[in-house]
Amino acid sequence: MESLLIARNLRKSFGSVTAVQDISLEVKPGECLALLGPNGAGKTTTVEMLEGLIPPDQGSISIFGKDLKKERATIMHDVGVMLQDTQLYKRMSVRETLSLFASFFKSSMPVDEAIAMVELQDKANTHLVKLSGGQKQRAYLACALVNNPRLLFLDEPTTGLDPQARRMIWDLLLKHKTKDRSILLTTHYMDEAEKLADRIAVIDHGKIIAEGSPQSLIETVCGKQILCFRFAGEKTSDQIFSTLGKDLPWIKDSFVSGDTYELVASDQVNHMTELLRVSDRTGLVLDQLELRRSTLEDVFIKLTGRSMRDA
Amino acid sequence: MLNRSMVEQIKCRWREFRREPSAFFWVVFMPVIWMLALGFAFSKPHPETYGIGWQAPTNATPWTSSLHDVLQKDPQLKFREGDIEELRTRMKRGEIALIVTSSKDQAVSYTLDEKNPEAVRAEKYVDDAVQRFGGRQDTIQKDLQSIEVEGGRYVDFLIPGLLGLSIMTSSLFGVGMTIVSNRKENLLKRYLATPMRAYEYIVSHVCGRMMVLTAEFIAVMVTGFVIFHFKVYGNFLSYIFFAVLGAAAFTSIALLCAARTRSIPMISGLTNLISLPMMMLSGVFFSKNNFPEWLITATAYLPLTALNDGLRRIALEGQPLHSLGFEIAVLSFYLFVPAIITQRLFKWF
Repeated sequence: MESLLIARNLRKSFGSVTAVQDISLEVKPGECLALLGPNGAGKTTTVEMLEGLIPPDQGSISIFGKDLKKERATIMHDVGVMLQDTQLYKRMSVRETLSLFASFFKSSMPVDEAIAMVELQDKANTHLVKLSGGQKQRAYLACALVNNPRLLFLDEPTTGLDPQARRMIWDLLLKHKTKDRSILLTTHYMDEAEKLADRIAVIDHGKIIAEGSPQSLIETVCGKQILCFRFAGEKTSDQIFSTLGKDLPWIKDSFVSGDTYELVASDQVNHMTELLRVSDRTGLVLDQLELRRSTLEDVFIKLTGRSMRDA
Repeated sequence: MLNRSMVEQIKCRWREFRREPSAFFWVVFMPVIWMLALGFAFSKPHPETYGIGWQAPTNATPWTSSLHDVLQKDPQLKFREGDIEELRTRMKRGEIALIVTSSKDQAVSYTLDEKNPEAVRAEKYVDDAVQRFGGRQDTIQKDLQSIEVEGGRYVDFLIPGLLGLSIMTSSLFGVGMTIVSNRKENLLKRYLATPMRAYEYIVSHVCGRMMVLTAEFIAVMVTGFVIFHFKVYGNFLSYIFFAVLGAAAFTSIALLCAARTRSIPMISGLTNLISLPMMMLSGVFFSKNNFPEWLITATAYLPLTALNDGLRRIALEGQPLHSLGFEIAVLSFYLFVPAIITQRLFKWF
């Protein structure tokens, strides 16, 4: 099946700062691709280039088989967009706002249907200023969905929302996906990417550093499990590494967070046994020792050496 | 041209205006309040009054006491008494413009700042009263006939000026602020991420402005007609044409100011920078005739001067449009030049 969106070798700089170095990606029909990365990784710049809002310095973008630069006006009739940090008219009701957005497209669903889709029927005549954060975000989502877009761009759709409101947006998006529609999503939430995406592209410093389905990314980069351990006492990581490093050279690959050590390795059970044996011999007391399921966060740490929050 | 999207955008402009209570107040009620306050204040002949200080003489005589009484009773004089120190302080505060002293019979001395026109007028008035008190006889018979020139009342002068002022402020603030706040809140970027045609947004602002103009035009003119019996001696359609041309010129200036501005304090400062000098120099409240000749010539090129002069000549002098070529040319310049520059400069985000 031919991809709805094909971007090749995108590059964008702002002055001396290169926001996007070299990004190529594709979105297939019915697929949700998540661009996952920390703040400042280049996600928004990438997605704004794909939406035709900013021109790339280099590279090409084609959507529905058409060149975005030349045929943007036609393409946008079948595209839905939800930007980061947009404020629509505060003193317009949900219905009025949707009528306005519906009027931009050649074909759109009836406004009441769009309102029902995001479950805001009882707020249809309420001004946006009086809606909660979650309700407002649902109204914005309705604006992005009102033309029944074949391709939907969502830039951090749930940032700043409480868990319940996030879950509601996710459910709406999953429902939208069942109609065989494609989504390109940017997020810095691992759970959001895991929940919604069929495929994830991890972005850091303006480049895609890994790509695949959430499960395959986890398994290929980290293996299924992570070895976690912690020592009693107040020894620094340098002291621990020098005590154990000779017998357990792999220990230096651990990621230290506070006093907890996390190790991504293929042969976890062997490592566990070795760790128990050597620490016993060197007089170090293990406070905690466990194997846990690998996550996308571990993928990011393994790939960049930093956690998403610190990045 | 008036497709569904354009209609929705225009409705959106109207809702923005109608649902912003302060915008509605400033546009509709402010000019009316000005008109009522100033129109009534200057509707009757109002002789000028002067504040003067009387420095009590060290040796009062019956002559100086009588002069004191004559000046004190004069209804056009606000009379104060005191020693020289106190009177000088009052002069600094602007309470009096002239100090009068009479230390002996048949002699009066005046202390004033000759650069202050009010003080010079006060001295003339007081000296006239003093000379009559001293026995001066006017030899020439004088006959004063008061008439009322049609359209020559102060309020007739004021109403077109207030309409011009209202058109300027509502266009500059209304359009400029809305666009900058839309840009700041990423709404313009959101529009750009739809197939909406860019010109529709700008045209909707022009249409929105015309709706606001209708509201302010009706408010000012109806108050003028009903309360002050204002009359438009010229062609009323020409009068409307001038108001529309003025609104279009100021909308164009507002679009230029908002073409790239991202912050509200910046657009607010810019708008004030443009509107305040015109408010003072374009003859809104008072005639420009007291300005030096070079300033009158220079201010003729300001859009508000052209608008006010045009409206007044049609309303008060009954002049036809073809005799207002200069005013129309000035306003057309401010309509087209900023519009062309805006088209090149405008940024959506």
